[in-house]
Amino acid sequence: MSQNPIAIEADHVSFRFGPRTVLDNVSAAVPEGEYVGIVGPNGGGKTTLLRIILGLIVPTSGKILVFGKDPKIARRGGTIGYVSQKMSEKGFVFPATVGEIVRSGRTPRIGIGKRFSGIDISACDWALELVGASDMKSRIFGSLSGGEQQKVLIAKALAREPRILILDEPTTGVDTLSQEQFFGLLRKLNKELNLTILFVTHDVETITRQAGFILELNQKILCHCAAHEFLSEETLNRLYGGEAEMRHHHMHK
Amino acid sequence: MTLLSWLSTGSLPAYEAGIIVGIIAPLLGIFLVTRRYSYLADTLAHVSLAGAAISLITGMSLILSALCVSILAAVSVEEIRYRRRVFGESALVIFLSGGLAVAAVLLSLAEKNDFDLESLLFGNIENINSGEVAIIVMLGAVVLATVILLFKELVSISLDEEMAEAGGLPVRILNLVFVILAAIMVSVSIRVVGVLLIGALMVIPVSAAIQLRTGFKKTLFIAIGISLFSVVTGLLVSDFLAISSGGTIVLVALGIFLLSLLIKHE
Repeated sequence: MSQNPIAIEADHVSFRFGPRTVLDNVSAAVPEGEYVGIVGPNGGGKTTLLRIILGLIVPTSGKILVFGKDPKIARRGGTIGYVSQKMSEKGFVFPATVGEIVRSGRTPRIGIGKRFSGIDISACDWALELVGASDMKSRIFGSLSGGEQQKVLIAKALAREPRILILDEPTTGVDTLSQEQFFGLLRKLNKELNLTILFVTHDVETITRQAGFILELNQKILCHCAAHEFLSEETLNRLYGGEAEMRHHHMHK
Repeated sequence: MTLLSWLSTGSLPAYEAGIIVGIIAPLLGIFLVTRRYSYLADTLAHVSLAGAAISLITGMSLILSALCVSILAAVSVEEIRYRRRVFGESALVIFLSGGLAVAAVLLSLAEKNDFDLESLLFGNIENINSGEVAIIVMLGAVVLATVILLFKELVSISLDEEMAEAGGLPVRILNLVFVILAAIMVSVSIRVVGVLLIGALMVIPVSAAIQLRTGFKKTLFIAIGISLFSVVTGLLVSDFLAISSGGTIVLVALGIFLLSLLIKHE
């Protein structure tokens, strides 16, 4: 791990939903600028952990700090950018241009009752340019392909100039070529902006190629290690509880 | 009857009230539709019947009585939805039925023979008085000013509530403000389209405008245009033909919606 300041710190975090334990005594630290893939079986607590980091739910015990602060305080002003797969479903009918969608991502930084300034508009244009979607600005969001929509949603998250980008299975339903471009974009953001990235996915092989570190979660943290050390049939069997078989995908360029 | 003579025969208050409702209905409706929460308007409208019944018993202004009951219901529905004690749509149905039940009991207790239930259900804008128009203007101005002030935040929440909250927006407070605005909208619309048709005026113009597949602000302006056209045309036609004003307004809007479905996209 790097010597950068700690972006996210989980300290003995547990979360119970009724009688069911979703997270059990999870402790981990993510330095700023790391690219961490979070993997694990369904119901293993991945999304719950993200929701605690985002301040959407409160842990039953333990605490999470984002840049040393409670998530509900740290997230003010748009410290955290969040991309989920939900918007894609709604996106086909939502009446908005790409420009309007991206501007809505900037909203938390502006303040209630205030209008978008020149700086805000420039930040939105910068975010669109960064993801290579400047030419889509006046297009209707619902008319875009799944891959294009995901680019726009990343631009929306980036428009607030976050220090942390959290993605919850954002490539669901996106074709392979768009996925490769999408991952390329995340690598660029991580390297060029020193953006801390947390990426939840079921695609263990891809995330192992992309991320610097893997956090394997199944109620507890089973492994928090460098990505290149992670992928093996043993870990896959442990993750998914069956006889997993390694298949190697070929990159299409 | 010409438009000028119609205006001079005392229908001007109806025209004023109709225009205000025609503007604020889609202004809030666009957020209800995009959040897939359209049923809230219908629920609050039914609950406001209980307010109307209270007004009948106490002699309080119909609009103010409906306003108090609708706001109480709106805040309760939002709290239940937030606490996730029941599914959102179940909360709406519970309040809709509960409001109707309270209204039925209160109306039976009131035992007033001159009570015009039909005008409550389907609107009776022709008999609106200038005092009521003044209340509608005031409440309409409150809704308009609040939506302008919170516009970008409401758009953000409509796009994705969780993302907005994760970004640091005070989503819970904004949601409460929004449902209170919806309650205000419902109470000022009772005289114009009646409780059974309020939801239609909030949802149909927006749904028609969405068919044009344009940006959010443009969709909103088109929806307001459709809504105003429906209200004014509906009032004129209903007056000429001596038919229900609320029903006619909604039928005009429905006609525009059906036409909008003919628009083809690549």
